[in-house]
Amino acid sequence: MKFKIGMYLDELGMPFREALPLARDIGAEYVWWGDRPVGKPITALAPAEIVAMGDAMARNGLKPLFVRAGNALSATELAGLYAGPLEKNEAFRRDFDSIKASAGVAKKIGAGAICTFGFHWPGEAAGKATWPMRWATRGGVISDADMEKLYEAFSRVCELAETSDLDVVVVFQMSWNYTNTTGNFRRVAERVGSKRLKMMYNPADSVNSGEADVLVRGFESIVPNVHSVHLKGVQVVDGPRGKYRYCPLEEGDVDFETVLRQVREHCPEAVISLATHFASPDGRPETAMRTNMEFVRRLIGKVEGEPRS
Amino acid sequence: MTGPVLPLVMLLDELKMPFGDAIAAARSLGAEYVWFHDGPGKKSLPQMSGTEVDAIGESLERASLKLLVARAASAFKSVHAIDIDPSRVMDNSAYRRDYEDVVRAMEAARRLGVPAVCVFSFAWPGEYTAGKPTWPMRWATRGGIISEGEMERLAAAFAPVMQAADEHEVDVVVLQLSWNYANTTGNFERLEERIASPRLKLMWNPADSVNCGEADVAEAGFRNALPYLHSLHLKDLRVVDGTRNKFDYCAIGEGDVDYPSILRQLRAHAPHAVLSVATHYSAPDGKPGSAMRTNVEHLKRLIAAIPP
Repeated sequence: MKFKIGMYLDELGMPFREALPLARDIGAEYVWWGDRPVGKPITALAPAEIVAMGDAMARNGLKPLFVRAGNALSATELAGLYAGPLEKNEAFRRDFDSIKASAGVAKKIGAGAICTFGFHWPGEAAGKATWPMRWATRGGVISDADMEKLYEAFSRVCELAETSDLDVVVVFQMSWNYTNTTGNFRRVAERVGSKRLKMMYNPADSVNSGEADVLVRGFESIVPNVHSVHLKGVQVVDGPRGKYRYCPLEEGDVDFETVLRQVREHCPEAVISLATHFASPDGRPETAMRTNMEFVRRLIGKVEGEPRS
Repeated sequence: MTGPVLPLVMLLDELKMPFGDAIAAARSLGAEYVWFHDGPGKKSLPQMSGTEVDAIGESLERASLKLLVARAASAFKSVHAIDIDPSRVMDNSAYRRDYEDVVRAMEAARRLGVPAVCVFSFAWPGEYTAGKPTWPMRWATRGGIISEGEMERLAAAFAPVMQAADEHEVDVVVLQLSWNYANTTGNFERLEERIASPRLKLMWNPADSVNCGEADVAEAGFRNALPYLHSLHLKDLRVVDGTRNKFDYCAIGEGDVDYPSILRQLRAHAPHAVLSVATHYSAPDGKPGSAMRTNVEHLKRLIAAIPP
């Protein structure tokens, strides 16, 4: 078994076309990106631009990991989402337009998945109001009312994925979203009940959200839903107060050797996608990415040499 | 020990009758103090003219009743703290409206010679707009954890209120409510420590503390509340499913609140604390007066049973 390696292009801090050969040189086979490297939102891309992006990836020997729908469902606060039917909510409609656009892009460039986020917890924009309670409850407790909203919103997204014949809808785990932990993602996935709903497992943000036993019990509970893995390093400084610092993978609180071993054991098709978030001493994003890649290569060398159970 | 030594107070609105009739009923039930949200003509104190406020005072005097506290309508009950910009609190129209009510209640308090106004303590995120989304976490953490960002907003929101209280020489009494930040004695204490004004007092509501999942309300909670205790809001309830905020109101003494312990401690440590009786539940005959009478009788029985 050989690990599949991906990369989050935004972390290279350069335009899309310049980032592609560098990503390939560092060792990526798959890439994903936000609006920043492209310079415009996904809804503003012309068909010719989309085709050109696909061609550029192919020329560099790269494949799209999935197509991210901008920041759809990222900073949208669930609590303020529903003043009425979903279609009448401006924030959701705007995000859903991005999701539809991402599905169109995915079809054009041959990506099998689109990516959304998982909605902000209440008061996230007001100094992360519920962070201390989320930390104390190992990631937060989703209320019944919130779960119904999540069900309704993600059901629409999954319906779109189904009609677009996209394999998966990836929900990217972030500490500020309802899908911040493996447990909370699993509860949402169980409620939505769609085989299209997958996740980009993000152990650093699960740990940063206070979840217990992320790497074994947590991971194994979401194995059927794992599409890919987001690798970044984080050190929790003061959990209840939401203080943390990003760092190289090797220096963080996540045991990535166990992460890789678990991926190899349970979902070897999952792409492990590198991110950085930290600044290297020379300030160059490329250096930070190469630092993480070297570490991952060392771990892969060790894990791949082990007998499988 | 026979009969209550702790003064009885009644929330007139619970009697659900015209203001004048409610005053007479409260007197006949043994109240010494009363307070209210809606006065004559369904007007709250902040809505009343000076003449109307004076008439309230005269009505109470004729009935030999005292006003416990000037209630500033429902100020700060449903204003969400996270919507307030701590550097520009008056820019929030809901906050400003309630603040103006509080100032008018302070002016009424001065006219009536009562040294305190009653306010609430701001709503948790999404409480009145999104189905109480933080309730399960609040229950799991025994009342909720106020974040630093929220505490900063609460401190900024209370600052003009405490300044006005100094100017009017009145105390500000926070009535505990499950949906507000001062929902437990622990959270009120943390809020009080941040605001640090000797004028900030508590109308302790042990039933809501229990309903919020606070641990050891009757003993540790009492000790938390004692330094700031203005009065008690007495009602009782049974928690049915705490995580899902399901509960039933019931008569005092029949619910989950350990009133024997609370009353015993009150007599020992705060014998002059006033007990404001509420109902919230329906009596078998459906009459609000019956519910109030039952609660008063139960309370007197509980007080009489306090061991010497």
